[in-house]
Amino acid sequence: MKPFAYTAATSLDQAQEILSEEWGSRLYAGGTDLLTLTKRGTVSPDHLVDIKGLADFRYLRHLTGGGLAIGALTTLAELEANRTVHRRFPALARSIAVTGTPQLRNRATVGGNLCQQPRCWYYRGDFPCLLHGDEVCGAAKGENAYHALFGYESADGNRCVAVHPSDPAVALSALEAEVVVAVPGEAPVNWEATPIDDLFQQPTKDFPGTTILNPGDVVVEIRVPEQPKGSRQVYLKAMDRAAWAFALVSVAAVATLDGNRLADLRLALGGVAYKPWRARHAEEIARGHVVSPELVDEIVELAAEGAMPLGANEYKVPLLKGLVRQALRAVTDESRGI
Amino acid sequence: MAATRTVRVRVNGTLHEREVEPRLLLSDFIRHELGLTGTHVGCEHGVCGACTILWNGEPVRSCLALAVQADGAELETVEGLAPDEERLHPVQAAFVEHHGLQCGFCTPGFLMTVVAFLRENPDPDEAEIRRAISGNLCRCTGYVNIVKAVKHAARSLRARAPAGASAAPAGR
Repeated sequence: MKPFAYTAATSLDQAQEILSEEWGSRLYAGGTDLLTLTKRGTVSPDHLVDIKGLADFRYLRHLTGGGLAIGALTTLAELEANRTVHRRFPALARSIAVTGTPQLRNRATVGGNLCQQPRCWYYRGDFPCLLHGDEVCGAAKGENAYHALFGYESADGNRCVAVHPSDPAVALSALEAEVVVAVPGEAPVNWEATPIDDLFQQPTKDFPGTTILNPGDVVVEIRVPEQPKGSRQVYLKAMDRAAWAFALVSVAAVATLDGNRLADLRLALGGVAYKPWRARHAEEIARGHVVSPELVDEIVELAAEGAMPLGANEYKVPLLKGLVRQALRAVTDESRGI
Repeated sequence: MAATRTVRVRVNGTLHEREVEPRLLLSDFIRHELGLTGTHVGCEHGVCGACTILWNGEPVRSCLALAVQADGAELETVEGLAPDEERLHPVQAAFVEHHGLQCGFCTPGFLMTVVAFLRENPDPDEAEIRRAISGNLCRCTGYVNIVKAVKHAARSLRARAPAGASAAPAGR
């Protein structure tokens, strides 16, 4: 690794000041993603600003109305061990349990998990990549077995086709969570909450970044709203081995049943786009309908609607459909004929 | 070279203080600065688990942390397990007895992971054991004897613990 300066920040203000003023400074918390990038030279920071010690941002608080506020520096292990998370947000609990390894979850923060960089080998290796400042995305017409099905108009190389690697992000999307972003110089009352899906952006040549964050912006809190009464949740992840792998495809589903009727359905797909991909059309069609084998078939087909395989990732389409079917089975009652 | 920083860290009960560069990895600090070479470095990018140590009681990968971050922390490495030169820690003894190792390179990482795991879960079933060691790779054994060793270690630790004593570490 190239030498760098290191500051153990004693306040968020101090960290934000350095991050917004010093080109080459990087936010650092658990370090489990950034160090892998720094070791390879993919990222060469001049100054690491470590906020891991800011205890003010490591908490779980109940929100009025029943939701949960999660301080961004809470470790994944702390979230995983929390009873409220298990009881009320089982999809989130599961998405954390299948993230990385126990050793990583002890260090990794939930904020860092959302802001981690893609696992694309063009990015992490020395290959053409928009995130390196290159002209084209090498994966679009190259080795793209682990890449996107959704979210780009054409595989012309002008848009990044990497997928977001986070599992919790997918569960949080289905739970309609928001992230609170601290902007340098703004008082905490002015910090805005953004729907989690809007935190992410697709890297392009002109905007080679994976999130909407500007230098100095820090994700400080994740807000998970109370879920509809009686709703059922699931998170399913397909990997190419049984543990410690990123999702090939994952599905988070939250369903609210009113008798036989699906009063509400939320389906978020992971491993298929630069952000958690909500199957909005499928959700709409499902809403208000009686659960039946025909309805399930329709939801499954619509979840894959618009998928654009890149060449080596065609297998993700049937995998996605199968996983959506399993998720629907889990969140609806099997006796209703699915 | 970037300015050095002071790191004060307690390792296996002994306080150490060193001036280090911010880029020094915790694994390299433990091995090269402190001479504790029982912590092994395998993949060096957070995959294999050979470098697992306990940081304030929790297993972490020392190759994915900077030494400067450990300032003020309490660390445990494999050298701190055996009570003296003659005796082994029950988890070490179980690994020897049940052939939980062949080449031994991954063993320090397994031992630290398992020691922390059994403090929190003194009576695990096989699925829990396999989940606990899912972040440690062994290319020799196929894990069967490691799982067996963990089961036996749990049994001997339970037999040793005074009745009513909690095996859970503070702070969790």
